[in-house]
Amino acid sequence: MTAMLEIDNLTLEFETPAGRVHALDNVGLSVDRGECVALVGESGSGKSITGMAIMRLNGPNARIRASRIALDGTDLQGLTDKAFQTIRGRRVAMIFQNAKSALNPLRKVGDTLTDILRAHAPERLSRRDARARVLDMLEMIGIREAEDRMYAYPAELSGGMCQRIMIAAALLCEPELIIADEPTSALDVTTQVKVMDLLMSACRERGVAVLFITHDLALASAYCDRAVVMHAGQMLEDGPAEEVFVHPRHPYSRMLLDSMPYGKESAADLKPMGGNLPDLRRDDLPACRFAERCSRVQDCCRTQSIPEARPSEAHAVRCFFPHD
Amino acid sequence: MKHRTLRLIAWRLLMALPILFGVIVVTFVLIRALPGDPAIVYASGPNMSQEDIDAIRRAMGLDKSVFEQFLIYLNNIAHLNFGNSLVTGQPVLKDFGERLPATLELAVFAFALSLVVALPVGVLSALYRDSWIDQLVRVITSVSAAMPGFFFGLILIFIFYFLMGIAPEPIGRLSGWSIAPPTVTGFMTIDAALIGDWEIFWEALGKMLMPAASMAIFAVAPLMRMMRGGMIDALDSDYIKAARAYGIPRRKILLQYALPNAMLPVLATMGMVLSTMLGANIMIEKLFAWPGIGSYSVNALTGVDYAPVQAFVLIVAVLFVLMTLAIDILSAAIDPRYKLKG
Repeated sequence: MTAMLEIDNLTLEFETPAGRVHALDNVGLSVDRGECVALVGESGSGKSITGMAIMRLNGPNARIRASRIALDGTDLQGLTDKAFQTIRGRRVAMIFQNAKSALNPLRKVGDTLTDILRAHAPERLSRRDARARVLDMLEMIGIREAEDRMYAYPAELSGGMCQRIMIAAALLCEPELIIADEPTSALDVTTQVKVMDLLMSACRERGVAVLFITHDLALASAYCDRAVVMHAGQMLEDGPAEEVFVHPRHPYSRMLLDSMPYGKESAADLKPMGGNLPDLRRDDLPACRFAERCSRVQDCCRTQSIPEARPSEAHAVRCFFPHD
Repeated sequence: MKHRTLRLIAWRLLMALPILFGVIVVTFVLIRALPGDPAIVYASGPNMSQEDIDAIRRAMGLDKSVFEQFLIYLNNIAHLNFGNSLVTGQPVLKDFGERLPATLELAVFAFALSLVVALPVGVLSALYRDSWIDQLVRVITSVSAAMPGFFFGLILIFIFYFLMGIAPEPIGRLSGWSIAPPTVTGFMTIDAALIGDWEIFWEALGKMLMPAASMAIFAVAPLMRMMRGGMIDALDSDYIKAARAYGIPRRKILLQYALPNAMLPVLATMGMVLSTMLGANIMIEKLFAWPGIGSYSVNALTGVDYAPVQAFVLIVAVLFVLMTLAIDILSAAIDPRYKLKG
């Protein structure tokens, strides 16, 4: 069975006046049909950029090289920009961190949703039919007084409501994959759980695959089948969620978990993350970009390309000296 | 909602009264602090004795204390009596009534001209950042911000009238031998169009071109910069990124997502620009002998003619207040987040 999303050797650089930023380095990951994969790492580790690269939204100064970015077996890289329009929103939808600012402040949310539906309507879809389908979707995901909501402006709705609207927007064209980029990070904790439940149950029901970008390991372990750990634009560990979160092999994954307050006896058990992400503008980045923060580092980490270890069939670790 | 808006407008107009009172006080005091004695100017003539001058001063009420004069002035304003002009001998209000349309027509035309130039170019320079058009915008805005309008007017006259001879004589609204259409709106172009006199229409339009361009030159810089900045902010925003991620067509994103949002800061600038065109461009009117309220007021000022100058400042202040209110109402109509502040 072909994977829903497959990325191989994705390298991305930004040309900026301050120099070339080596944002992504040979990133590879895959998301199976109906699977939920968490992409975790610190801020600045390249998670969002990976998501944007799939959607070709990185901006004109991004240089992308990849051996493969495939959706359901078809490589997207060959598509013209025009043909790519049929992917965006239709086959792959995206949910953003700050839903309130992701909705046009001058447009009623119902109109924005209708715009999305009509942009992908195969036949001429009348405004009224489009609105009816939007209303159906809003009701289906449990938004109360959905009709009134359609006439509201984003500023009149709460952050949680805006995020529900965005989930509706994402589901509207029955996509095969949803890239959720920190969908709940801007919400308070109680709303967070409700919105995540809504998003995940809606996706599971419809068999939609989810790439869930987050820095919140607790959320990731609660909702995802698989986890991919990223650091400074490199993939470090990829495996079943329970293995990665319970028994991380990569020193970086372990460091991430040690810095999480969950399941710790006392605050003394919490270990702050040591060091910082390396400056990605450097031209002398070590082969493993984690080398300068790692406690197990040896000379080979800086100079030789990192081997991939496989503790189990579905679990891959890119490290010379992984934990047992 | 509508009811609330009306109440807010009434409240805002009420709140403008203290501002206008302040304007009245300041102009009244400043005018009297200026050198020059209107009684002497009015009485000018070699055989006028000191008694004659004193008599005129008494007749003009200038012998009373400044405070008394101020109260009389306030009372007159309350009855919409702005006094008589010493130069024309007519009530100031009548003089202004005759000249305001000329000023308005020129200002509106210049305003339209600056919008037509500034907005599309501003949008293009935002869309093609750092391209040649963006560099051109940088040059235009620097030149336009640095060059005084009347100086630009002089250059225009020198090149197009004096050297090339393709511009009409830079004096007034029509040439001496043309017959003005009957006054309906006071706008020469509209009045000419109303009676179907296209020859006069084109002549009036042609006469406006150079003074309007001189007025527009200062307006182009802020408008273009705001349009460019507003558009860049809009294009970099999350909602544009999201709209693109959802495959909404580029045309629609530009026209219905980016442009309305980019127009909000431009709108505020437009109010400022139009008010300035109505009030502060007296030099341009003077330069082109435009029979508007600006050149009238300059003449009054040099002629120590108090009443028209005071009325001019007051009228411009009222225009500013109204314009600000209009922009606020417009912004509130476009932007649901914008609350009319009481």
